[in-house]
Amino acid sequence: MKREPRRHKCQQMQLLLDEFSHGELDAVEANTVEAHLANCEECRSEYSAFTISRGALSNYPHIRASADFDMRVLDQILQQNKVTNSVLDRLDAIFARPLYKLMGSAMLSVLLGLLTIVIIVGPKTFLEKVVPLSSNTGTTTQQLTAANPEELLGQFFASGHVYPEFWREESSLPLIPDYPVAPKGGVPAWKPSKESSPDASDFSYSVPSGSSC
Amino acid sequence: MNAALFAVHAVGHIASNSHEEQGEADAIILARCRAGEREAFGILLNRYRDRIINLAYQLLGQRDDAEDVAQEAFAQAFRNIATYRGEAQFYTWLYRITVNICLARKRRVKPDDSYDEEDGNSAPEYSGATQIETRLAVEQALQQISEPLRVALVLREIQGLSYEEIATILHVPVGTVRSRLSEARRKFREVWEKEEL
Repeated sequence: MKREPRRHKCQQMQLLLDEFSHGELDAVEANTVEAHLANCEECRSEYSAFTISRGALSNYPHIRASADFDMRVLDQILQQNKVTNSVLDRLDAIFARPLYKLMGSAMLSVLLGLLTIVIIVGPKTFLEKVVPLSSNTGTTTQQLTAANPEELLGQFFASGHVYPEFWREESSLPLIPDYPVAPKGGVPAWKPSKESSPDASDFSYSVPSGSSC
Repeated sequence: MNAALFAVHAVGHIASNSHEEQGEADAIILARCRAGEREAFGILLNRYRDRIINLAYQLLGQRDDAEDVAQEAFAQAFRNIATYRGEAQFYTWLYRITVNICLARKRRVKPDDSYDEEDGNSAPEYSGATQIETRLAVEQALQQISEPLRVALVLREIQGLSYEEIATILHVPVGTVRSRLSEARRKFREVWEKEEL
């Protein structure tokens, strides 16, 4: 029974021998190891073998670099840079051809033109022109009925009117033909006609539709 | 000779003689390297040249291979200096590059070619018969230990690195470093005692 704690103590001390020999332990730990070594022959023997092998390893030959080592390193670095630069030079040579230059200039001009248009007319208007919402097939009236406001909105969106809130006043310059025009007096505000759950008739609304819904 | 190469090399030597260069932290020199100053890399080259060559020599056992590996290590370090994040010390990072190149080279070399005592190029310069014998014995003993144990032992006992630094270089936990060192010492001692007898 008494041997086990001592064995465990020796194992703990032997783990610290390396750092002890390098002077890497703090004062308290170093004193503990020293005290243990003074009283434990087994650990002293282990430490002795440890220092012998450390001493042997310290005899490992030390070599010096050859005189042209630095030059060879710098030469290799410069060669690396030349390889990188030659790849870039080749790419540069390819894109320097007149045809590629012309194509590049044309693409750049188109992009600049589009950017100018977007700045002038505004991004929203530009997108509305680019993405047509409806085709011009005349106006018809579609009756939307719903049991509640959410369902009405759902029907409204399903009818193809993506931007219901973007009503515009009648104008001599319609941006999007047949886009639904706000009724005179504005969009009626929703208000329940009864305290109990409203019926469908409270939420019917006529929406002129210029496209298939 | 390329005039630019000569100029960089000359500046590196001049800088190495100045006391200001000795005190300049690696971090400052690295910042100058990233800014494109080749002279700054010359300072780092001068500072770590011997350590890297000797590390490679201790791992490979041959001088010519050691210089080739060290040359490649510095070239890789320069090439990747922009990606060095500074989480570890610069020399730790450089050691890691060197160890990886050594291990890759070892895998390409056949086991019976790894150490040739008769190869004149691999023998370092010795003085004194007893010293020669001792050093040869140490070299041979070290080469007989398996690679992971030898690397840990070289980094600890010859390069003098701490457990944490070795763990960073080898990408293993500190506990693994401890166990490898313990096993490496035991194996080295066995071989060494056999050699001594």
